[in-house]
Amino acid sequence: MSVLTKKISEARANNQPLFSTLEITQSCNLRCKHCYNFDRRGEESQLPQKFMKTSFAKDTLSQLAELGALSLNITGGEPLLHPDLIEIVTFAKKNNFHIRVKTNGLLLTLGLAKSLFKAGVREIDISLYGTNEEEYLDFCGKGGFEKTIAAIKNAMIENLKVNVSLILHRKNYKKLGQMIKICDELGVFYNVSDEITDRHDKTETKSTLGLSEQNYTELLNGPHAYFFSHENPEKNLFCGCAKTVIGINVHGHVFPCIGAPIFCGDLHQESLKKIWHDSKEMNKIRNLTSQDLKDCSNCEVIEHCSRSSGSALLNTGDYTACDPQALTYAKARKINKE
Amino acid sequence: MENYTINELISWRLIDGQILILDSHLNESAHELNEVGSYIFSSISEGKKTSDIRDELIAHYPKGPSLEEDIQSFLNKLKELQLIIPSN
Repeated sequence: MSVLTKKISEARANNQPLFSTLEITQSCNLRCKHCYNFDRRGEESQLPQKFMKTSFAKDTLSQLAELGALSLNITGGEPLLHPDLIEIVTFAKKNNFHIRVKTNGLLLTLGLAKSLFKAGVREIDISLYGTNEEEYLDFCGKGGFEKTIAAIKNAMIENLKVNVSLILHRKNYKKLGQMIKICDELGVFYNVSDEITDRHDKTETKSTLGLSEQNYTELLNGPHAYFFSHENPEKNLFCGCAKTVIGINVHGHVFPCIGAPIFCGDLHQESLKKIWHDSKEMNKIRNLTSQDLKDCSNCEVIEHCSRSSGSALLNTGDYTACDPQALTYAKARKINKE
Repeated sequence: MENYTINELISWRLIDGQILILDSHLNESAHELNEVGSYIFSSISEGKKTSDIRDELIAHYPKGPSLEEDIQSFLNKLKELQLIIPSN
């Protein structure tokens, strides 16, 4: 067992949040149809708080370090919009975090990539939504393809470790091969993200943009099937939520994971340590057993399922429910295997 | 004795008295230090001179024949992995 695997296993047993996510803004320069935050067709001026206050972010980082968080994922909205991003990263680096920024890349100039690396960012996750400007315009509400490609190059030049997330949905899944070719030509790591969930504001996207069973079957029979042929022979149903994972949003609300927005406490009212250890919701999640996931425990496709509790929550309103999207994918995998 | 600083490319956290080091850039590896190793590493991060760290350890632990050699061997290993960098 590697050192990291051993430490993650220990952290899981001891409820230590090794992996943290800090949402420093909900503001964004794109209007993606699938955005999980909220329906962005409205005016951003309606946002109650655009950016996390820098002093609040620093205090939160100190509390995360004290709790034992090592990995820090800085996200948004679009985090590069935060006016004090470099100051926040510099503070995080002084607290010895491994810092990763998740971005659409549109603002990542060579100069900013250099500043981010110098301040302490070591990894950058750049989302790729299509293969040309037209696809960006249709899906993201504005062009951005060329800027995204430039961002990937800029990050690589400045020694940032780059991962490209290929965002796959109903309208672009046939372009996966082209997206992979782009990454291969750039010489950059990539992964496929095929989870389209309903939004935190409860508005729906999965039924219109999520991959259908037929789409998924096509992908399973295509040249890149290895991205989709997930198997779960051990019938695992739980992730690291509330055990090794913690999420904090722009308002200082603490969640078991940024992808599972269950309110566990407000950092303006209580310390992170108190919320993490004493929150009723955190402890409820920690104490869940497979028997609590009634839909899943006797499911005939569980061995093919890549269920995420956060997605189940967003898609059904119930953290312990069957996620209909995961079920669709699992059924396609089972049929494909047979 | 040579003095050191922590390589800025790595990340680390003290967990239950032991330091976990994440090295995503140099060797794509993780390292776990024992209690004494964690003390030395933390002291380096605080800017302490190697000779002072050695003196503190000698004062704390009964001086065995190999204590100084063990400290130097540990520092050499950290240096070899580029987790620490000479600062003078």
